[in-house]
Amino acid sequence: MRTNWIYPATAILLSVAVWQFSVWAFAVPAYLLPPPLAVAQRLVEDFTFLSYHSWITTLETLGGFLLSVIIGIPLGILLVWSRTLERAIMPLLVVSQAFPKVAVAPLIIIWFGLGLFPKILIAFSVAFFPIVVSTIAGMRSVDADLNDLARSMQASSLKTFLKIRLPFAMPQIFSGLKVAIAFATVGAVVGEWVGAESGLGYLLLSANANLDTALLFAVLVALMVIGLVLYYAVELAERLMIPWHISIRSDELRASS
Amino acid sequence: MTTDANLVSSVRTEADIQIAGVTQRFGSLLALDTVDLRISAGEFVSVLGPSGCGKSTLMRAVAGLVPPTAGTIHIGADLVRKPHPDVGIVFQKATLLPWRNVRDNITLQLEMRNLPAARFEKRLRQLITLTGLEGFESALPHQLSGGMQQRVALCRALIHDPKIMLMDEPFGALDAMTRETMNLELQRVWLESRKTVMFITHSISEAVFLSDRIVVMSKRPGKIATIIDVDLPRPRSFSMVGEPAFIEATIRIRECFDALGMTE
Repeated sequence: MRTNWIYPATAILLSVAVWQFSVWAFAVPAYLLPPPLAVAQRLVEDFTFLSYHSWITTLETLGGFLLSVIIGIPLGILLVWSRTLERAIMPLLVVSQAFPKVAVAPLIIIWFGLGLFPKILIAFSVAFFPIVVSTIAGMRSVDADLNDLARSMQASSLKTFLKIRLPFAMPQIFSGLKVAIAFATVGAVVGEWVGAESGLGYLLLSANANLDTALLFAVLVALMVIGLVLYYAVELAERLMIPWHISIRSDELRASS
Repeated sequence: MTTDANLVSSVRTEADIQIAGVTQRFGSLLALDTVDLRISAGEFVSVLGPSGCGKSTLMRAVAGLVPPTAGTIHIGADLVRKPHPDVGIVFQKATLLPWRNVRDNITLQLEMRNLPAARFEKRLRQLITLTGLEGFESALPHQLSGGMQQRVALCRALIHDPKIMLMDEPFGALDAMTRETMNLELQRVWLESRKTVMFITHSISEAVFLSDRIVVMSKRPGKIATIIDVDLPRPRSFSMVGEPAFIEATIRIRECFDALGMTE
């Protein structure tokens, strides 16, 4: 377990070295592919500037993600609770996911302007679906015997929900949250592409227009950092909220290896 | 293990189970056909039959989980229409909550029924001792073997001191050795508490070992084929399998299965 990071770290270092060497060896012009050292230099020089735009994108991502959680989990629970609602709403949800969200982004920008809110909405529109689906799957995964057991204990449906069904659904809900947080970042950047005055997506467009390839790469690095930090934040929340699930998973891994 | 007066079921009157003309249809399938059966208070009755004979359906009807299509079920004087407060259930799977430790899985029964945990603290400790779970109180289910998990389920079914125990093939998923151990333990727990037990199984030897009476069911529609008394002294041990009464009961069940054209 402890030595696991050595392999990916070596792979990354090697690819960066190959990249640096090839740029030098084949004399690739910097506007096509800047050497990694130039990207690193750019990251250091423009740190405050990049941080500011990263912060904007992070806010939009988090906003969209939190909105998805606040709406997606209760909606999933509601759809499991009522067959009628599920029949009425589920087709709408599926249709809403059938076309690419990029296509709606211009509309949202027209309606809500260039600020943070429209980006939050676009991030929400891509992030909430996996949360709804995983909540539904999680709530349905409760063992039939366990439902019978709860009924035999004459428990109220609220108690059964809080003490059995919801905790049982948590592992699945969390796998939905991990997908959602990654999607939310994509949504935020797409929103910034369509119309924005700040954020990493906006920066990508303007760097692109200026053929500032080193800045493009610096933004990619920033996006990667945001993605990793947010993903591991969700995983940390999972560890804190459902430690029992993590320990079962690691026991199973140990048993199978 | 020590016998404890508190486990020899309380001052309350004991309850019997009366099943009268119970028929259960699921669509066009006749799962149970006019079943009549009375299980006396404090009696251990096994319901034995091949899979699909409706024995689990019968138990679920007694548990008040599925109302029968026709007929009535009484627990004591109460007509069963919904789950009855005086019942504890053990399923084939332990159905423990993976995030709760042994102790909290047992007390789930109290929480769900809004019973004060403090009042059952002594009983909880006795049950844990009786089933050999001491030292495992704070273990999580996935850290326990199948047999240990089923012991927790047994404690959970007994913690609120119900008069009636319903057990649906509780040891069916265990290996043969563990199963025998669990049969011995169940007998010990039962001898100390004298609950009315309805025990669903498809194992002939398990039924003979544990029961006062064995209800043999036939398949499709589920009907009572015969009822066999097991006349063996208690406590029983597995060395009794060679005794005439044990052999006789086993042979009678097998003859019944043969006559019905069923193999176990």
